[in-house]
Order: sequence, then structure tokens, then C-alpha cells
Amino acid sequence: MYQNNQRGAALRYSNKMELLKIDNLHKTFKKHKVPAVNGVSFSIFKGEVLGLVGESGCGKSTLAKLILRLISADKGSIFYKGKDLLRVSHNDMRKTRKDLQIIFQDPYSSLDPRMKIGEVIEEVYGIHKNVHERDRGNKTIELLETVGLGKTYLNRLPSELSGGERQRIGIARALATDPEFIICDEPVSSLDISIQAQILNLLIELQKRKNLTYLFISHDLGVISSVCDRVLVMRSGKFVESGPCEGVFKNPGHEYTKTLLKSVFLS
Amino acid sequence: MLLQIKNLKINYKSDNGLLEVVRGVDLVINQGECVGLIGESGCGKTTIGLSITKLIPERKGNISSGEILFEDKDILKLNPEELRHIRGRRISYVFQEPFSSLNPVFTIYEQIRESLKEKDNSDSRIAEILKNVGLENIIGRKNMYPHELSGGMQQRAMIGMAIASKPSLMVLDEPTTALDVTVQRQILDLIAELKNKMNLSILFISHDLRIVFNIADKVNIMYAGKIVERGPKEKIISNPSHPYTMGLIDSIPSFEHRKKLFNAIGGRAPLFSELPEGCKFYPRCRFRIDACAEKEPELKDVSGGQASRCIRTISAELRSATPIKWNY
Repeated sequence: MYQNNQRGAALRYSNKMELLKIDNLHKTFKKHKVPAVNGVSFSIFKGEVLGLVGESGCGKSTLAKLILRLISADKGSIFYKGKDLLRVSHNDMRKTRKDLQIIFQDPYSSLDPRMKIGEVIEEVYGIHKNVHERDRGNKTIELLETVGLGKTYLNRLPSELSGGERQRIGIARALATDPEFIICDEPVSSLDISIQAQILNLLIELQKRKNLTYLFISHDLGVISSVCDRVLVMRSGKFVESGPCEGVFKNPGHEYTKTLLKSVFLS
Repeated sequence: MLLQIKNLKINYKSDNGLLEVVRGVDLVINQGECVGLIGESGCGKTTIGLSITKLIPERKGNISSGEILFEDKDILKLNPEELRHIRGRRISYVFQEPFSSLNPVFTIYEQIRESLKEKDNSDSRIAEILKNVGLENIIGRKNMYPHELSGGMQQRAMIGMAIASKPSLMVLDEPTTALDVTVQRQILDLIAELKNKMNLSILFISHDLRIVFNIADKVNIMYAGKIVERGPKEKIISNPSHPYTMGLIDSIPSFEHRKKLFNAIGGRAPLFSELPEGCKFYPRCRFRIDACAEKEPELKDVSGGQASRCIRTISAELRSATPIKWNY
């Protein structure tokens, strides 16, 4: 049963540009018989923060990887500005990757322990060739400042940084290609609450300043409700409910959403 | 008073000599009470939990001074034999990751049996424990190994082992952190139920205020090896008086907070090798004045059992004022 908490959704977004349209996406991993993503369809509009909430194993990270073609889908379409990403050439996809970025959950395993912070960022410029070689050094420093760090970090190794600082590097790396769309895959769930608030502030500010579009994945309804415009509730590879946060959180339609809401500890 | 910790100091060995990571902590737990200990990672909260039964390995560090009075006996003065009767029996532990706490090569039955006293380890007693922790469906399934259980069920089994010896104090160190939200709620409900049924006293250690506020009666906020604020839960939530507590509460994401920036705490917790002079929170505090840097404040009473380690009185207006812009 799929509950669409429509209240104003169609109206509000009718004049917005559809940035990504996911249509009937399927993925079943070879080892498992049960589909990880079982026919999901949704749209992401330019400039919005779309939340994706669900418990571990519900398929939310798989969905994120499918959208970026980090793993291949079995069936379906992913339209980015009208172009089906599942049906473009590798060359075209490579160019498109500039616009679609991801921030991973674990800032420990997503940074190469042997690469200095400066190299982590400059590697992106090397791959995408979006910044002229002589400007790369300055651009890197500028980017580190954007995420609240500075050039003192250029020669440090990931092991010298705290969890929050590493996550800032993850964000800087995603921003290096000047993307339009960023998937934030549980970006704060491994951080202490005070650091979590810092990183959320950074993500909210960047989104507003650069008019970025986020797909924000989290299992924490508190986090989702404080940053997202709309939310998708996922369970066993399918959406059980979707709609604007106000509607879904104030007046949940599906039993599972109600269970999730009851589990949140609001003081 | 079931447990009283007095002026506890603990040193850890490091490359630069001994570092004091618990710098004089007082803590009281009464019979049937759940006391929360909140702090960021590395503030010394787990160390305190371990020290209660002298579980800090000698190669890592030592308790340099203080008293830990449990049922009027000083734990630190007991010999190993006496300690063995308390550890795991009168005081039991549940840690964060159930899978790494359980032994993968023994069945759940064997592991619960091991934690029971020799006399009373019949199958019916084990069945009773399993029932108490909501694992009715594995009663009688003696071949069940830990990997066959979900994370939530593993944590239930751990709690079963912890209550098997009918302890009077249970130390729960981040017992729900590795679990999904719906499972977290179930485990907390179970802990609350057992607490009432068995008149357990609990030390609940966590970095997540939301969870501690949910279960604890009294709350201690720890920063850089010392308690900076303590008091009854309700008072701390509605009227925190230390800037660190305020920052933590203002960092809680919620629906009411929609689309606004958090009044977050800037910077990061100091390393124990580089603690600042004066108030240890001074460099990150948005209400600091020059006097804060001179001397570390004492924990002084505010009202009604609430105490705070801050020389300033911060009004509600001052607290809600727009913060200084940090690097976010």
C-alpha cells in the first residue's frame, strides 16, 4: 500500500524544474532472491531537499548508488534533465558525473588514508579537468575555506582529522566539481550530536547559497524533519509514503511511518 | 546510596607520559535510579563506566585517586577474589555492539548459562531469563548461535546475560547506538521495564541526549574529564545552566527546528594533552568572558539538585540571541 501525502505537493512543485525523474527502477542482487529496490518512481525538483528515510537494509543506499550508476540497475529509467542516464554512453555519463555527486556516511573509510587532504581534492580536478592546472592550488584552498577549514589542512592526512573534519573534506570533495545535485548518504549518522549540528548547518547553508538539490538519506527522522522539504519513506525496497514534511510528520498516513515516528525521541 | 564515586581521577598512558582523562568526578546512584552520563566521544564517560569494577587494563592506565563506594565497600580496596564476586554479579555491563560482545562459537544458551551462578543454571531458569528479555521464541532452541539473531535480538540476549545474576547495578554503555530507530525504542522499553520489575539501578552512558532524556531520572553532562552540569532530567531539559549543555540541547534536530540553522557548538573537543587553562569549554563557549580563562570553575549548586561548572548566569534571552558566526 502506497500513501501519497499529496497536500499541496503537486501545486507547489508544478512551476519547478524536474531535475531528476526516476521511473520504475529495479535492482535484485545476484546472491539474494529478494529485490533490494523494487520498482520505485519519483521526481526530484531543482533546489529542493528530498529526504529518504528508512531502516537499515530497506534499500536506501542501493537506490542512491543506482541513481549515480555506481551499480547497474536491472530495469527502469533515470532521467536527468530529460536524458536517460541508464541509456547514455560511458563518455556522456562521465561528463554528467560532474553534476551528480555523493557524500558518504563513513568519513573514515571514504578517504584514502595515504592521501593528503590537498591531494584528495586536487584528484577531482585531475579527473574532471574542470579547473585549469595553475588554478587548482588556489581553488583547493578556497574550497577548504568554504567548508570551514583552511589551508593548514592541505598537508594533513585523514588520520590526523576528527570525524567532523573528515566529513567536511567529504563535502569539499563533492563540491569540487560544482555539482547541481548531491546525494547525502547518512552524512551525519556517525558523528557526535554537537558535530552533527555543525555539519547540518554547513549543508543547509551550502544548499541555500548555491541553490543545490539534495537527496538526503537518513534513518533519523529528527534529522530528516529538520532539513528536508519533502520526504520518501522506504521499506523493503518500496516507498510506503511520500509527501511534504509537514504533511507526513504531522499527519502520517501509513502504519510504518507512524511506527517510525513513535520511535523518535523528542524531548 | 548504592554507588558513590568520590573525586575519581584516572590516568591513561600516552607517548607523552601520563594523561589525566578523568579529572575528579563525583557521581551518586541511588537504589532503583537511572542515572545518565552524557558526553562527546573521548570525554572519559566510558572510562568511568569501566572503572566502577576496575576494568581498566593496567597497560592502558590506572586510577590515581578517589573512592568508589559500592554498597558501602570501596571497590578500589578490594582484593581480586572479592572483586570477582561483584564484577558481573552485583554489577553487570551491556556494551554498544552486541555482536562483538557475544562469543560467536558458543550458543546463546551456553552463554547465558555461563553468566548464571553455578547452582541455579537449569534450563527453566534460562527460559525465564529469555522470557524476561522478550526472546520467548528462542526458548528451547539450544542450538542457536549469535549470528542467527538480529542486532536487536543479540542486544536482548546481552541484557539477559546482564540480568541473569540479579545484579543491583547495571552499567549500560551506548546500548542502543548500533541499532535501528524502531529497535532502539524496543530495547529502551525493555530496559525501563526490567528496571521497574527488578528494582535495578542503572548507569546509562550515551552521547545521545534524546535517548538519555528518555530513560534517565538524573543526568550528568561530562566535558573534558569532568562533570560540567548535573541535575534532575526535567530541570536540565527545561533550564540548562551550563553553555555546553545548552549547545547540546540546541543541537538536537527536530521538526520544530525546521529549516533553521542550529545554535551549534563551534570547534571540537580539546585533546587531553592540550587542555586550555581555566574553564575547559572556554574556547568553544559563546558566552565566554575574560575571567573564564583564569581558573577552572567549581561545580556549584544552582537550585533543586542542579549544579553547574560555570561562573556566568545565562538568561534565556542571552541564550536565544543569534550566535557568533563560527566557521558554521
